[in-house]
Amino acid sequence: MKYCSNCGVILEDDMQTCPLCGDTANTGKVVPDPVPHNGTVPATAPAALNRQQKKLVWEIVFLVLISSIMAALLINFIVNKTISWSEYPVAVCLVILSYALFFAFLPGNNVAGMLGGFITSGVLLLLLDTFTGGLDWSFKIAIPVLLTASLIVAALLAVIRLSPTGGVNLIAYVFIGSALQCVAIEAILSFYHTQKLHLEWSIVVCLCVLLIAIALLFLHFRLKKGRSLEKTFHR
Amino acid sequence: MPGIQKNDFWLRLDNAAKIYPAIKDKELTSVFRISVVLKDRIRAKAMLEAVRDIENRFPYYKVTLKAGFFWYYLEQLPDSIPIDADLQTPCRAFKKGELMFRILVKDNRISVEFSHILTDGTGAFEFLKTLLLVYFEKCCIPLAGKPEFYDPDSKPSAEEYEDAYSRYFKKIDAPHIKTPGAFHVPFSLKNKPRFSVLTAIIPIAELSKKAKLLGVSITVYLTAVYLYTLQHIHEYQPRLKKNINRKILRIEVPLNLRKLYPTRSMRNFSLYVLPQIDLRLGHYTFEEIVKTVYHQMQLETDQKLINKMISRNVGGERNAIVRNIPLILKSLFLSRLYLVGTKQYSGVVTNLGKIDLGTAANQLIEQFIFIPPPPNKVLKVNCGVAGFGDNLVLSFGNITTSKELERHFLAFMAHHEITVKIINS
Repeated sequence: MKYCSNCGVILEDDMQTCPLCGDTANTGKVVPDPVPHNGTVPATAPAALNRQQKKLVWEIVFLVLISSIMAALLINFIVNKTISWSEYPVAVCLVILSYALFFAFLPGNNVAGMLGGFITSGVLLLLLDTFTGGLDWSFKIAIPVLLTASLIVAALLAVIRLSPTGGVNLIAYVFIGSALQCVAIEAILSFYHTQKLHLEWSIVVCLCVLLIAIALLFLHFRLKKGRSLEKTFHR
Repeated sequence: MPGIQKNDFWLRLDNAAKIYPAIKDKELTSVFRISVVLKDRIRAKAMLEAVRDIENRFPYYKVTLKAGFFWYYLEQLPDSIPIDADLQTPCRAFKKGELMFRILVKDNRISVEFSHILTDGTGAFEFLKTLLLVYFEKCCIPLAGKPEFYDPDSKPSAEEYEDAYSRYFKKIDAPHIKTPGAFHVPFSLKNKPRFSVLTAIIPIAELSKKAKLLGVSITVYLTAVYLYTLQHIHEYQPRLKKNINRKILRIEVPLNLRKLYPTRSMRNFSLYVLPQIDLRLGHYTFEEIVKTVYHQMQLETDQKLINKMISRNVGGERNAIVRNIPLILKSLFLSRLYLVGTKQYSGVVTNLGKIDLGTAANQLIEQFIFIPPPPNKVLKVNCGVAGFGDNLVLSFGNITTSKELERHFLAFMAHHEITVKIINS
């Protein structure tokens, strides 16, 4: 007769390891054959794009954005005989282009994607600023805003990845991230204009957004879909 | 069934359970254990099969504790019941979000540990009994004349889920008489983890003979021994401490209310009586203590007094102000209430009673052991009792550095020609 030397129970002859403590951990826990939940088969992840498809998507995005940049610059130059307002849409398109490039060709590596996107966008913005009247707004406003946005997005991606269940809680996290970005934008702008940190409207935005976020988190963690409210609020 | 929904299963805590979430922590776990020691080693395969067979028979135990806005509640967990190797300290706390009972196995011993939030000793024992009898079936051991137990294939009745306190609640407007605080053993606390257990075996025949000579039950006799021991500890304190410390010695003796109020509830349904002696009146002989404990227990188990206690407890829960206070504030109030409650008694003697599983099953069992939940820092020591076959097993839970109470208690027994054997539990 076989015995387990750890918990001392009798094992069947065909048992190679003790089903109570196993052979990998002496204090281990065993669960009787789990009952399949609703007989469901684990859902398969949606099929990812192959390299050829990604290349095609990237080319379309590239063409659309470059066309937009060219169109904006051209219209601005024809109408105003100089480059003025078109700097903004061009800057936005360049940032999107940079991040799209890295996220399309570095799948699953968010850190490298964020870093690559940030560096490329930064360089492109510096170049744009240089060619449109000398260095000014790019390193005082655009790059700091981009940096805070990148950090907030990176933190959001980490939080979303660590969340065991996805639902309205993810929207709440995005709201909180957006509120923080508002604070960062106002702080950077006020510092650019007055050389002092002065926050006004972003605090109001923050408070409003935080209330919504709290409500969404409460909805997610306490009142999951289809659950009765009575158990949470029973008296 | 109030508080039960089929598609979104949840349960309100019963009246007695409501206080435990507010006070439980890593040391004061509110977890008790019932063990059965078999004559043969446990068979791993049969044990796993038995657990798998019965795990859906007790849905009110396959739950976890959740915080609502006004009260805690129990929410169903789909997980299978795990079986652990019994290698750690008994009555450990349950982690947040996990089941609030566990099954432990070691050599020839099966133990179940339940949080008092789920049930009392009777509910836990019924679960263990069902597990044990199904385990014997899985081992292909024929059991003639086995006791009534929960058929794993049957559906649990609505009564099993019920909060029987609420069922038997009748509003009584008698005022509550304030109980003065009681003496507590002056021993210093152990370092964490504090809880330790000392287990002793006593032949029932010898104990029963002594109790019968005095015309009392075993529970009364053991309570009297506990009070006599506390009196000894009180009297041998340094003079200053003796004068400062309270002079009322009072024992909490839990009562299984199912014997007074018919119910099949598998949740908490017990209250207590508090026999006492007052040392301001002088020294008590053992016989005097037995006499006073016997009469106090007779008086306090009167159904009218129990009704009053149920009315007070359930009435408090149903009070409009209490109901509308948010949980976070209510928990502060409940933990304070628990502390005040504990100050009223010096010790606890919980007797699970004499266990009988029928001749055939009894022959396969060596003994049952009942370990009460770890006492709090005020109470420090408590005692659990379970009788089986020819023996009574006493388990002293202790969180102090001293074993003086246990020593005096068991020495008293030994001096009165009752054989005491200390075992490793």
